[in-house]
Amino acid sequence: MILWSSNRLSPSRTDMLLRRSLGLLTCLAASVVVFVIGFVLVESLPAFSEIELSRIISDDTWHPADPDNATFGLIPMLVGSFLVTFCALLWAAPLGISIAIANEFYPSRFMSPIVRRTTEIMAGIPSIVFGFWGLTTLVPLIANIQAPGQSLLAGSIVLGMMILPTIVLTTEQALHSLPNELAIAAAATGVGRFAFLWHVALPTCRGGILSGVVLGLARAIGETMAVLMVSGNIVQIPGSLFDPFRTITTNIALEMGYATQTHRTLLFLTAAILIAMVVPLMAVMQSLNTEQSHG
Amino acid sequence: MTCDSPIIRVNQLEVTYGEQVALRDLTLEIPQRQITALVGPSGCGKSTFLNTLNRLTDLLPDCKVSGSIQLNDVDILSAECDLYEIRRRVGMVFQKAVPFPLSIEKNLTLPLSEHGLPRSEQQKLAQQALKDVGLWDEVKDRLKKPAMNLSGGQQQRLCIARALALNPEVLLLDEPCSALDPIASRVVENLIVSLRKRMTIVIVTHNLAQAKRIANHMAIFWIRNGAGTVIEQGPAAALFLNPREAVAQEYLSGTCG
Amino acid sequence: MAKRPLSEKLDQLVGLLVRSSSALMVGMFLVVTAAILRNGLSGLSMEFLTTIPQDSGRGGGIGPLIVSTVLVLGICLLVSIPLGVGTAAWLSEFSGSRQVVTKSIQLSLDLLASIPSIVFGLFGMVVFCQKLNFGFSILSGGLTLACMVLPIIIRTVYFGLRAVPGDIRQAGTALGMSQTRILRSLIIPTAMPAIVVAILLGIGRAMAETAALIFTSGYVMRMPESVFDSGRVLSVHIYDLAMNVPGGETNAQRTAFVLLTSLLVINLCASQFSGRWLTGRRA
Repeated sequence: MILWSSNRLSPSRTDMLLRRSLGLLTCLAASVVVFVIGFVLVESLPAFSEIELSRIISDDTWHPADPDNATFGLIPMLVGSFLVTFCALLWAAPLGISIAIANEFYPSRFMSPIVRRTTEIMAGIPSIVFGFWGLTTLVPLIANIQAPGQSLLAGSIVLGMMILPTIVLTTEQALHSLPNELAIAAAATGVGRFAFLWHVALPTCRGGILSGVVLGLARAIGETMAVLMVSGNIVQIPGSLFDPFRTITTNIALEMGYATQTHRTLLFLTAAILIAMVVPLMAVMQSLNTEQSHG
Repeated sequence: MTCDSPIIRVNQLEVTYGEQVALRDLTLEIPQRQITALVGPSGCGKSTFLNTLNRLTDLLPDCKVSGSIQLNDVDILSAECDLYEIRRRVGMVFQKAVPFPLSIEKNLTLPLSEHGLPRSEQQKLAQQALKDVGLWDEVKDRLKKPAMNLSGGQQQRLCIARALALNPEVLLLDEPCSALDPIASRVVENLIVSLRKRMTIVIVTHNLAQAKRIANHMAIFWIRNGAGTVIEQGPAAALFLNPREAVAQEYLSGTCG
Repeated sequence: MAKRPLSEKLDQLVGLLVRSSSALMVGMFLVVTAAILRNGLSGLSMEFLTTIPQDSGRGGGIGPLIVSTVLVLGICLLVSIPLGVGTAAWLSEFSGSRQVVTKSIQLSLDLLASIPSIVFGLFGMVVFCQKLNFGFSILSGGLTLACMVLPIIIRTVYFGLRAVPGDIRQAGTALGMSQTRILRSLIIPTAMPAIVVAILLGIGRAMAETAALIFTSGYVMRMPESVFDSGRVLSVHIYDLAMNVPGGETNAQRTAFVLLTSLLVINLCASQFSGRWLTGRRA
């Protein structure tokens, strides 16, 4: 007969301990986002008492550190952020969707693995490298056409390249989730590949494709370093594709190092605005994804 | 209805998953050191019943169990009973062999060390268990190799050995042969019969021929009023010969269920 | 019947179009990497990797910066791996039927993943550098990055743990093993490849980061003596040389080469590893 020793902590007590400590870690991990948003908000709150807040819209210029005649206009930078994001999406979204379609519907034994690998690697290239390439290669090229080269065009090319993998991967995933039987049924009834793609696949995956584009959009708005290196960083509403500009993210990166008092507070407010733009996009994407999984 | 020296007495057992009642009003006695076969059509709660016997139902979040299950003098369902002790005393083997993704030896020693046995003891028991299931000669040279590399029948015997190493009083088997080929299935079946002298065995099976071959005692599960329950129980031979309930008669003769 | 050739033509046209899109992307990728790799390779030597930078980085090497980068990554992983694995383990093994709790935790992680890195930089500056008084230091930078990579690590490990078949948990429980033991001896070892992939992805993401580090780990190029020293990481070095140091371009190229090749290796390892792990699972 075996003697079952019981010289150990009761397993249920160890389990309880583990459950509690892992629960604690989980609480900590889940609260990080609250801390991040909370601290940014707290640091930006003084802005409401220090200045007339409407001035961030009504002021035309941005001279927050000027002791006599400070101005706080954020509009040029907000416009800069939106314009560069829009221009980047304008070419990267259709291109990304096309590539995903190629991977799913027009695969080639030679190209498809290369394209997949490229997408994966491209997603991992740091923004600083994209920015550096833009600064050293792209900007001089654009400067040949029209000086100074650091421009909306350079910004949207670099930014578009950065969000391209996101759009490709998400769209591909959406298209891939189509049941195989659908394609077989279509083929069996004599529906061609293009007709299937156009009338069945794309409409069915609308949600998933859109969420890829939204994800790219969110990433583009938040991107800092790459844009900073190719945008020229002049606070103005760009009049053409060849004009330099500044975005709200690059503004934070450029000025936080020396900003004090109201200037600093306003930079935090900018970060709060940035969060306020990204969070609803996330919500939209979530709903798109659930719609897709239910549809 | 009653049997000599029952080791497990189930009284008025009811199991619900959320809204759905899986078992209701189940009363059953399981005789000691015999093979009790649980038979009946799919979906009438045989596996659920087996799971309640060593409280695996605790793993399911919405599952509620009421009634009483006496294992000798301990009420398995009471809150005070030591869950880990119960699971040592009541071993279980599943339909699909579940070797841990570890070496063959580690598969056996891990639960032993969990129950606080010293290292030297662990290896002795592991070796004995492998001999008991007739696996020792097949695997003694590769004890450190992954258990996943064994064949299906070997994996299932390893799982039985893993349960045996803990020296349980009751061994629950949930269709242990249904995923095996006929030859491996026969090996496992013979093994089960050979274990009868040592412990009480409760086996769920869909194979009536198998039940007939190995069982001493039998319980027939059926759906009554939307929930599973035992409609008839008793010595296997007598039941096969002369079931009281009409449905049981039809089931055993293969015309329904 | 006359429609058929038309639709076939259309199909061919679309095929050509989408395939050239793919080719365009591969082309862009090659242009960017070729430029960085070609320009950076010239003059790259062991000496560059080990010596200290001189003349604001125009001359000399990047030795101390590599050390700083490794230290920042080390701190980041030291914090994010236990926290991430613990959270993933809770979500996968202990959350039970608490759907609402699980859903809101997942939502909070999704939100965290969507926050731009510059915002993490501000957060790190306020909390780690100022409130906790770590100053511009490797510690502050590492902690900031830990917050940033947390969602990636949790998600990767979580899917790894969920991929462990449920019958293993059931079989372990049936043998009277405690949840602690099942987790430690059965589930974590089985999910180890996912944890390795999570670490690689975390390194890849953290090493690529610049914006979150400018205001947390700082610009100092000296060899760090402790984690409380400010230390400039590779990506910040590229930024500073390219934007603020006239004549720093050559060394920026070389640093970019070092950063890009390390990241390529790490990301390739991650995808290779997760690929093999997934196919191994299917077999």
